[in-house]
Amino acid sequence: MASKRKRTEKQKDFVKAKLKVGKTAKKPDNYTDTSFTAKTISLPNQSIQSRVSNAGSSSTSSGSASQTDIDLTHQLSLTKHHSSSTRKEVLLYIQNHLPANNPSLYKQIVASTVPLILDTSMQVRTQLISLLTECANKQPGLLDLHIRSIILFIHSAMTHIQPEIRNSASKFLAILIEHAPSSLVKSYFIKTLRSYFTLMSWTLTTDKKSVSLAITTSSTIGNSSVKKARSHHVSILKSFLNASLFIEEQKNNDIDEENVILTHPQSLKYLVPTTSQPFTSLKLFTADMPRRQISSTDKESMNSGSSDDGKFHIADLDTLSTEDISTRRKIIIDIFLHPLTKNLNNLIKEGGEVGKEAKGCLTVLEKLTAEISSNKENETTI
Amino acid sequence: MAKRRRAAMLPTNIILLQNLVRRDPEVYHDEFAQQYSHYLSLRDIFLMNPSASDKGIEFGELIGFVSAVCGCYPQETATFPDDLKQLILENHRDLSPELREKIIQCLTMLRNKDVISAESLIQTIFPLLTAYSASNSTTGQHVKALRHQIYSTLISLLKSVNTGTKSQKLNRSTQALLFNLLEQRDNQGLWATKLTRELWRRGIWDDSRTVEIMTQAALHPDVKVAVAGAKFFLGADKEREENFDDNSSDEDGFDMGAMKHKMQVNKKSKKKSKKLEQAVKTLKKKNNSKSSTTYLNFSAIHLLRDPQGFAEQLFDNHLNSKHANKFDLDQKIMFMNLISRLIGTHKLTVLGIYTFFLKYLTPKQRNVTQIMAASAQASHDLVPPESISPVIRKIADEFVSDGVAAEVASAGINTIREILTRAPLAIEKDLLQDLTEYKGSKSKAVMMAARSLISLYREVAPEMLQRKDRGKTASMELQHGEKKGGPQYGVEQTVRSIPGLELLAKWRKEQGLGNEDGEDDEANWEVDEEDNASDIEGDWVTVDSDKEYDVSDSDDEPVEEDKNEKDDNDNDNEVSDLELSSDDEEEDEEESERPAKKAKIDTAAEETVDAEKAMAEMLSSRILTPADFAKLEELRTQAGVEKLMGSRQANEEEVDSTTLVGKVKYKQLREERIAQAKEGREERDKFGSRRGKRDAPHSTTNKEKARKKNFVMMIHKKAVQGKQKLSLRDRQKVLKAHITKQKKKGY
Repeated sequence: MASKRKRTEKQKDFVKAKLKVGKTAKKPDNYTDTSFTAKTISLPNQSIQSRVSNAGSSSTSSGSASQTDIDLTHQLSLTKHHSSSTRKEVLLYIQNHLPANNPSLYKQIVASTVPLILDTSMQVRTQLISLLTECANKQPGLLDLHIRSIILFIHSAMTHIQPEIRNSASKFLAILIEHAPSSLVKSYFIKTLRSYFTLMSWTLTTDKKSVSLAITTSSTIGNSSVKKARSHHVSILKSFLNASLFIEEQKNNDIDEENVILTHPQSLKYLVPTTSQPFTSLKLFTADMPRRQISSTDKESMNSGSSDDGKFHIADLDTLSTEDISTRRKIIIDIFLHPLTKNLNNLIKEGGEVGKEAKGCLTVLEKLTAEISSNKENETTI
Repeated sequence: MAKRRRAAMLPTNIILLQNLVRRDPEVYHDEFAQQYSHYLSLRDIFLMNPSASDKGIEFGELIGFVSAVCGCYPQETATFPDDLKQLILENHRDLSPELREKIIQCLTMLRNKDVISAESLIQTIFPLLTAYSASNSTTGQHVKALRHQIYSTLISLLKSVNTGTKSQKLNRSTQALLFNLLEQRDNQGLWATKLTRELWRRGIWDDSRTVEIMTQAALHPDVKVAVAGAKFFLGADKEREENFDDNSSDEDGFDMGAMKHKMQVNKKSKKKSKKLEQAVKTLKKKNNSKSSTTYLNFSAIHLLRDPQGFAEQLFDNHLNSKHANKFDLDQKIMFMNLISRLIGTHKLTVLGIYTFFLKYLTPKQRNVTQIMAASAQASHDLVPPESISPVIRKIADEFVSDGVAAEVASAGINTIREILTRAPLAIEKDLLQDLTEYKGSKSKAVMMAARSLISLYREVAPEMLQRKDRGKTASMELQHGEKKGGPQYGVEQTVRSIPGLELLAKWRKEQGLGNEDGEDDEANWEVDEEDNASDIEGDWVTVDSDKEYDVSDSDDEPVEEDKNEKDDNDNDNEVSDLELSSDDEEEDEEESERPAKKAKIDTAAEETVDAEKAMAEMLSSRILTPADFAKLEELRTQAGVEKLMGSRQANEEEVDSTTLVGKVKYKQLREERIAQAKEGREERDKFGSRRGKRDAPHSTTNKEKARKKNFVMMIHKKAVQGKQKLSLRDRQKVLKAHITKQKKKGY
């Protein structure tokens, strides 16, 4: 027989609660309070911003178009989602629902998706590659317009500490080479080439006391993906060099400059330029760190070894502008040619796919030197 | 194999990479170059769109990495510190709080590695301290945390720079920044005061430039800044002393401050003064042992460059101008306190303040005791008596009359006494005599106050008192016509000898040293360095009381010597036949009024050496050597019990407003009386009755029941009736049996 206390306690459980008029029933013991008070109430339907954009779009297109606008902004906000699969899905969705012809929307898309170049997930990056290609196909000048931000992220990816991100960086560069070659090589030739050197773990200067062990080992020992990536890198380097060092075949312009009759022979120079953002190299509207002025004494000490021979030096790289092809060629010849050929030869010795690509790359360089020497001969003959 | 794998794996983690790079910068140069260019590109990404960038965790990590290893690659990272500086100076509003914190941390790290100078660090982070004022709303910027970080960084930076030798250059440049801050009219100057105060408290800044900053702050138009400045002058030195006391006085058993206070409050005796001396000695010893900190305890008020101008400006700008209403009463009182301290310490002349006090000196005024204390502090002997006498007249009219409460009257009289100790000429004879009439008051506080006034004037100017109040000594002097006339305005008492010289002369006589030997001895000219240092150290610590004592000692000498000769035989019962000295407290007071005199009597009783004569003798006959001065110092400390008691009224001493009212005993309420009576009855059970109390708990015994049984029920029982009918013999038997029983029990 249980004790008296236990019996009374047991009885208590079966006592029926008395309900009284005008009083709410007592809450059970295991009741959990789920009510909450909100600090803010968001009413997205009444937001001024969306209404304005609604009005703007409704004047031009139908109501369904405005619906896609809202949908798109929502999707773009999801590009910062924590789950990688969601991010990938979002990119896929955007790719499938690209707007017809709306520059501001494309600007939004580029601005919010480009940071994903540094994304940790492989899927997301591959999806982004296809999205960017799709965008470039639909809007021809788009990448030219946004090259400044895109190239920054690509450079950042090329020097990233994660090898996977580094590996995919050149694929993004390939898109730029394909779709916006001129603005790429004009403004970012040197920077890209230097990033390539760090990417491939090549060194510019030969007088290094010790060669870094870790990166060379990681690149040689590393798994097959790294190897494959390297062959890919070299092939893209080849196309990059091709794009930057040789005059592309002139697309037939509508206007043949030679034959147009103008009031003044120089007036062509004062027309609106055909390229997008022709004055970017002046950096008029960008916030940038001012370059530290190298004092004259420093310069002298740097150049003391090699006297002024009309060649570029590594120290000059920060100050050079690479708008025209002759400067680019000169830079390649003066600075990059020697280390490039040396490293490419090393790769050729390795053989395999990488060696093949390296061989192709080397032929580009040889073609360049041959062309330049023939030019020189022409000049001398003339 | 494992090693190769490790080499291939490691550089994917930036922290590990940092570790590797620091171990062997040569080998990992390429990895570093890669990360540095990554940093550059991330920086450019950030600069392209500063506001829209995300948290920047990776960027922060990279900044940390580069600043940690940039000592290894000084050439590659030459522009890095400038980058960081510009980043934080121009974009601090766009940076996320974490990133901002990280950058400041990194800059501090760079400065610790001596990559950047302390000046440039201060110039970088100082503007951020004041960048977010309260006016522009900056929610979600964690401004408070930022300021806290910068503030503590600045403090620790200045501390580390100033350990060992002080870096005057950096101090000056920082102080210049603070001056600039104080020139603006908004309340950003508060940071200047905060910083200065903290550095002063820690003893890092202790020069007159620092004080100059605070004078600027005190004169600032903004209320908060001005109040902070004033608080510095009123409390900073105490704070600093506390800070240093905390550091030092943990291990030893006594508290010097408490001891000095006890000496001032309690009855003085030889034993106690010896104790104090012992304490001072041990304290000195301890100071010698760790005299590493070379800090001079100059009070902030003493370091002022232009005290007169400062006091005048304070009075004109903050108290007497039409903008004075921006301060509330407490703040005004604070300024009154500060100005009066200045006036008292430096003996300044700010005549306007005495009439300014008149407005506030009424019993109904809130916090009037503090104002009274300020008015007492503001008076000294170089103020024209006609400026102070209105204050005294006003206090006498408002506070001291038959109609007011006892505490009001006592506060009034006490304040008047405090003023008069500093400026004895500021009262007329009639008013003084009116006030002394209160010695017969029923209230003890008032009576005591009046008596203290009398005893003050017995010493200063007995002829102003009524005849019966003058006391024996003073009236005898007056009869003999020896006492010179009372104090005169403008006649300043000057120092005419080296204090304590007569002690030296006496000592030399006792030692049997003639006047001629000593000065040729080489050893006497060289005193041990440590000794010297210790002397100086000790002197600075006790500078306040010491100085004052010296002056009074040498000045009062001739008068007191005369007195001593006369009163030599009966100096023990000197006070006993005065009509006022009936109770102990009075005696206390009497002694406290002139401990100097008593001490003098003790030391100079057997052989009196006239100070002036001694000086003439000594100085004309021989040159004093450093050894002589050392001995002099020693003798003075031996004889100088009284200097440690802080006996004489000093102008630098602040008047404590709480003591002005005196002790007032109120009638107790009924509850209090009951509570007090109950308190007295505790623990007295054993003396009370035991009735109705049991030692051990038990039910009623048969005996108790029988005893309690109703009488009517028992009266007809045989046991009761039978006793009545007992024969005489039986009755006697019973009685006897009872007696033997009782005897056996021991009664």
